[in-house]
Amino acid sequence: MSKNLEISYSDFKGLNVAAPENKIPPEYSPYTQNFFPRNNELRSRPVFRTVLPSPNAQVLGTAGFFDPTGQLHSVTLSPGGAVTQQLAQFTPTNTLVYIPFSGASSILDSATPISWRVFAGVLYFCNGTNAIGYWDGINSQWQQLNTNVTGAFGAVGSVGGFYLAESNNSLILANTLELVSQGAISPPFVVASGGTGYAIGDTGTINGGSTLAAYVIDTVDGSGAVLTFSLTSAGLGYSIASGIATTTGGSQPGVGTDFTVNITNLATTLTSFPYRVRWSANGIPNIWDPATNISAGSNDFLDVPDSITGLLTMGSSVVYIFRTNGITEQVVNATGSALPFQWNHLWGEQRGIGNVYPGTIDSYGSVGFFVDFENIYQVSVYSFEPIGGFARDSIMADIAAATGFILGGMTDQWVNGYVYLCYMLCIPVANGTKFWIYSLEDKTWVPFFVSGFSITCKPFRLWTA
Amino acid sequence: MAYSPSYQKQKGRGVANGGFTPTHAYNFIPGILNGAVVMNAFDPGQGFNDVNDGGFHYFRIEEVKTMRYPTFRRVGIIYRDLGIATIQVALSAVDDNGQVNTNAVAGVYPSFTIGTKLATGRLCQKFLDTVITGMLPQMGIIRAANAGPVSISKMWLTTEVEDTSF
Repeated sequence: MSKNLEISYSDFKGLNVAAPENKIPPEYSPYTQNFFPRNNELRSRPVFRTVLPSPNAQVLGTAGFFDPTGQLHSVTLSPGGAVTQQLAQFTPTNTLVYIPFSGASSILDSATPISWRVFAGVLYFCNGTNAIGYWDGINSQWQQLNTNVTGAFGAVGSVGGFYLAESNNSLILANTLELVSQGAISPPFVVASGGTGYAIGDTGTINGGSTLAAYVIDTVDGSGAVLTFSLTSAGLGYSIASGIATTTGGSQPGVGTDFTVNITNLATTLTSFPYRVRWSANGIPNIWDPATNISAGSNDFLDVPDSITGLLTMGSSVVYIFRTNGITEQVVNATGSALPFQWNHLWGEQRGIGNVYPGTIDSYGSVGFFVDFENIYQVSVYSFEPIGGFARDSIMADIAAATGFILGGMTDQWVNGYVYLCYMLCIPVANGTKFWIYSLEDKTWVPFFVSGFSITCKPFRLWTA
Repeated sequence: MAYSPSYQKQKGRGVANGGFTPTHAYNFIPGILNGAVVMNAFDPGQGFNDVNDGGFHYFRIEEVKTMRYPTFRRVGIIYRDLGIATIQVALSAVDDNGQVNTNAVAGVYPSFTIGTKLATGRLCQKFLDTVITGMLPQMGIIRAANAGPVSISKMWLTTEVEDTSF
């Protein structure tokens, strides 16, 4: 005796590799690509097409913002190209117009993904140099932000970094790059006169490094113990810290044969501070020097063992500062004071949950995402939830095979009217890019693969005309 | 329809350098496609028939009935008519020596052609007669690049299976 049997599949979900193929629920798939569940239907993935004209160099950032006049701008950032073609904006006819840089040479790195933030109608951006760029949507050029500091934590000159955010009306910069002074050359240099002693009007040279400074003796006191001099030609890369020198001996009574000067090296070294957070003065994004405004400042996370790998803001007062093996919560302490923020390392161990891939952090309102060594996490206010779920092992296998920057972005509308709120984790692999799509509604993952495509910038929804 | 910002243009604050009234949104995915810099997007507005990349979706492996060796003869589909598309149906099963059988003929799986030129958007139904015999059957669908847009509401496998106890 036999009976009819029907095995059916509907109400489709995503990938499930967390159990043998005969143990997974029927709505899941053990093996899928370029299909995705949409309102319980199973659809082939949408067309992947070129929408707009492209900049001349690869795009490392896209941003959209309303300028202070209320006008909307959608821009691309391509630091690898010509300086005059690094920032482009879409026009009302959906062509590209370049906004030139006001400087002579680029202040951006040519390969690092852009981190950006809009503050008071101005777009600020950085990508791993000691500079921050900005454009207000009004000026004919984009410019370098004044981020100069004078001696704060040893830095002299402009500061920049990898990650930019805003909290409590201050721009926040993390994992910084700064120019650090080389300090005094020690011991004090001895300038020899050749044994004939010094007299007013004598000239000579001081060698403070690779170049010489020329001097002329201005005065010699009665005993010859003290003389003053002027530089007639300054040496490059150093300064004479003391203009008064003391004789150190001599063959003629009262007149020395040589004298000493203190020389300060003006040369600076571009130095990474992967554990440093800096913030601008409250409400003043172009003041970063605490000597100018005490509400600007910096903090080094010397009490944790790892580097900062990203920022994620939650509201105006909370910033999650991600580290390789941990997360630090930054909250407001005393607005406008010398210590406007306080920090709480949620954990600071040698190993722990952190953001391993800097480009994977992204947020949508109160929800954020990042990728750790062992899972993908969803961030909500005061909670971290692993969401790799049934697809985690496949995602991690692709991450292990990545051939470039792994990037992640939140999407709300894929195009007008097509709402699909998801986190899109983009992994460049051999022959193309793998897109892992996490639906916030279904809480499932599906993979897309686009052959011949290498992603350079995290997904971001932009308006066009 | 134009997007309406929630606040009005500000006065006395200079003149914007460019900008536009927004009408369309795209989830841009910039990158390099076959050597060229591109501003690309997955665009459902242009349909679900990607011309460059195909796809596949396999369903779970079924335990039909212990110690039985069923033969499936028909596959059914309820789909949404988004236009003409071709779907290959891949069936496989194993015998008790671990040999994998498939319904492929000369290495090619049988296929459905679904949908209409009109792309009515209506749900439709179709059957495909194809045979697979063995244990632990599994069904999958394969869509080749440029094979048309596919949207499936339900799929099923049918057979008759011996119900008499040993």
